[in-house]
Amino acid sequence: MDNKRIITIVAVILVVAIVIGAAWALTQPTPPTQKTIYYKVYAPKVQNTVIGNHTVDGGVMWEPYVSATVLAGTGTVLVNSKTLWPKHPCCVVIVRQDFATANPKLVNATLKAHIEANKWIADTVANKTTDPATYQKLLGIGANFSGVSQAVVAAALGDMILDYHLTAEFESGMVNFTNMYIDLNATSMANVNAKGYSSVQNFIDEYTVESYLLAANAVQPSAVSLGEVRMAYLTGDLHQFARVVAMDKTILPSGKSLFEQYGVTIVDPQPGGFANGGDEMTAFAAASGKPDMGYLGSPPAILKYLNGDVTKLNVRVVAAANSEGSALVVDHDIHSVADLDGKIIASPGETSIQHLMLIKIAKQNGMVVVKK
Amino acid sequence: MPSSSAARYKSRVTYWFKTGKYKDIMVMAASLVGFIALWWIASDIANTTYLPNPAQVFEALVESFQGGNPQFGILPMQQNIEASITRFVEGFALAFAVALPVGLLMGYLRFGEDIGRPIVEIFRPIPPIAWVPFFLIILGSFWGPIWTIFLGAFFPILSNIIFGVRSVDPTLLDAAKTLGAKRITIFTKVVLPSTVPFIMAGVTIGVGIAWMCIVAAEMLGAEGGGVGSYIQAENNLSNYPEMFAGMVVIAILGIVTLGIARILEKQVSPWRGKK
Repeated sequence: MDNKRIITIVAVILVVAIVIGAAWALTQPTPPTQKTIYYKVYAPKVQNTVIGNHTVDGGVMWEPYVSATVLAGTGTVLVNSKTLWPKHPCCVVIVRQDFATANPKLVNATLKAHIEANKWIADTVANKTTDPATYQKLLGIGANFSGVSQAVVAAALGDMILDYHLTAEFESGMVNFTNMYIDLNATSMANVNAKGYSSVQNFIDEYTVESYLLAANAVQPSAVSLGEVRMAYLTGDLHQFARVVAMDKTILPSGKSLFEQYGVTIVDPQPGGFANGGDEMTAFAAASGKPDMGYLGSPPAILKYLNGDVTKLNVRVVAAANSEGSALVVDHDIHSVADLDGKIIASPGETSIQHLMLIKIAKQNGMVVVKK
Repeated sequence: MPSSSAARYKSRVTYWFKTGKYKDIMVMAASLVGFIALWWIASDIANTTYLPNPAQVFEALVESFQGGNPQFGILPMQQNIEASITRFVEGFALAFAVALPVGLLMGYLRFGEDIGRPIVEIFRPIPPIAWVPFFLIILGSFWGPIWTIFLGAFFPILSNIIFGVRSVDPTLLDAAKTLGAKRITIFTKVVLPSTVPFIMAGVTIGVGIAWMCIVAAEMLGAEGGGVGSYIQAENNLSNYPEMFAGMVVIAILGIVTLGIARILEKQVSPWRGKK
């Protein structure tokens, strides 16, 4: 090898080293001036693992993963969403406007199954001492869906309110979320106005449609199929327990699911469910293969609708699924929100209610949330 | 522009005109303008926020350098570019550093090939993107994307090196042997220089694949941001002009790195057969 070649090789190595060094130096974060909680996106299902292996210091998650993480001994609840926002709205059922207009009976029947599933869960929990076998069945259905133990499902059931009613309180909570998103520059009043709403209150009034739920009360079982519903949901999310129960074929003596009993054939547009509500809303905007109905958190349903194009993404909230049921779970070394300065918290995604909760907690304590 | 031919002309512009190269440039410019015009028309016809027009994207691109919304994962663009380039360099350097010795050994020694080939053949068909969720959990969001880039760049470089070693002119090998060269000398003086153009071809292919991997990996999660993370974060909030601005940045970065790889390839390839 001649000298020229050696010099060239050394020069190339030096240049590469300098580029790497410079890039590394440039990307070193400058110490933040404000107290900061960092976040990384991890699905709630894996948050127990990443807290356990110290990849993160905590996580904001939905049930049953709050209970799973606590019962596994991995972490403790630092802030529960019910203390932050008592009786706050969480998951909802949405429907595509064009689908609802074309298939009102199918939507009513689907919501009837949703209502009956909620009632069945409520009755089963209320009668758990007198009818432990049915209660065990409920726990088994939840455990099977979420991949957790029955003890975890039992704890999760105590941490959330499963209710289908679109109450004034529920809608007022949705107004609150919309205002938060506007304050955080995630959407704008201009977007609200551009969709034809005069105010946030007016938007939520129009965006939540109770008529299908009211009509659903009169729906009777149907021997014939009324049609197919492509139903979206979130992975392992027990806030949407009613859907899981309504899909189960063991709770009715007929061997049919509740959906089938009311003539609804459920098709799964995304086997395994969506990772978060934002992704689910994106699927509702897709050119083809859109879901017809879906269970998801109310914040992504609000945010993605306001920021989206109504010609592609036009949905309405037609029922509630649950209130409360989320928490910030942290490593045992963390004892207060102040301890979170500089720590990393797992979030299911920026459009989730859990993320909004993390931002709210930070804000209340004079901190900011920044992506790690 | 080759320096020898350029020297015959007073300036680059004269060179373009005298050689008729200006026609190529004009056609290329027209193609680009035509593309932007088509995009604009398509955006107007579609009339949806999901397909912004070039002006909206340009505006979003300029604004992307002026702040962001870190609470929703939107970091300033310059920070994303730095993060992506660093990740790219680290992943690519790692791939090159491993592929070079492994490829040379697998190409030169039958034993090396027997050991390496089954493993390589098992892993090669798996798209690097398929590893992303696993890497994110096991290695975290710092090393996860880097290893995804590593996998993307590693196999094209490796395949090219093995092919390069096998393609060494047998006459050269025979001549070296006849002249009494030792095995190590044949390797450093004949095999290695002959393989250089193949290494560089592998690098060029690897660069392209690495960029695709980086965006996909960053979209699922990357520490310190990255242009892929930026695209995903803007998509989360349905900010489509901003999302397209991120795609434009990826295109520019891809073109620049590929250009650098091609220049390197041109510079390094003449080594072949010098000695």
